[in-house]
Amino acid sequence: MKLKKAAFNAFIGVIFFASMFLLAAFFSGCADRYKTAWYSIKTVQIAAETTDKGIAVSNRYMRKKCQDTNKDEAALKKCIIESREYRALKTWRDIAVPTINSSLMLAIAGTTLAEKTQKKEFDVLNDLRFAICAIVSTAKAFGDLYPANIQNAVLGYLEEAGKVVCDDLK
Amino acid sequence: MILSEIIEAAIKIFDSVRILASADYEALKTELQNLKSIDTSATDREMADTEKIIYKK
Repeated sequence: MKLKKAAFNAFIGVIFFASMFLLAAFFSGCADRYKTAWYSIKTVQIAAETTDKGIAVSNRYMRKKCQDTNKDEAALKKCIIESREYRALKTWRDIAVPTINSSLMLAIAGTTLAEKTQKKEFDVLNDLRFAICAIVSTAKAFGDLYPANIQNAVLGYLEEAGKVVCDDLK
Repeated sequence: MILSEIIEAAIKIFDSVRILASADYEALKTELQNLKSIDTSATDREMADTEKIIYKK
């Protein structure tokens, strides 16, 4: 149990280190707009993949807990299906992941094209907006289920780096 | 299993940070341009294991 806690702490440390590094990279001397765009895309990808791990771990804990407390098969199924963790898993995979993938592909294509044509006016954050908002919405709805403070780390650097307003996305 | 997933995730994040830290811009760009979708292997496994229980006849 102590080992698990230590591993969680180490994991959170890594997330914070990654967040701070990416934030620094984002706000420091990234004069090159294309470079900044690629870093932003990478940041969103890392945030999404971290969220995926957080949701998987929370569901695994829930499943184990349900298995330990329900010997009856029907009760076990009910325990899993009615849990918030399973709802988070389903919502993440059915809604958020396809949105994130589309948004990332759009941002990658847009940045590639802009760089090739040396286009000065392009807005990668607008392309990434749906991905950022999908990650933020998931963290707001189910972030308390992720191990420790992963949701805070994810939210922290996405909102800071993105400055994206998600409220009008319904 | 959970512990190994956490370590795996940590290694992955370290690897991503290493690419950024090394300022290997071209590597980062190529990696992203070859991206088909985000890595959802953790929830893929989890979903398969959970559905095995839910849809068990």
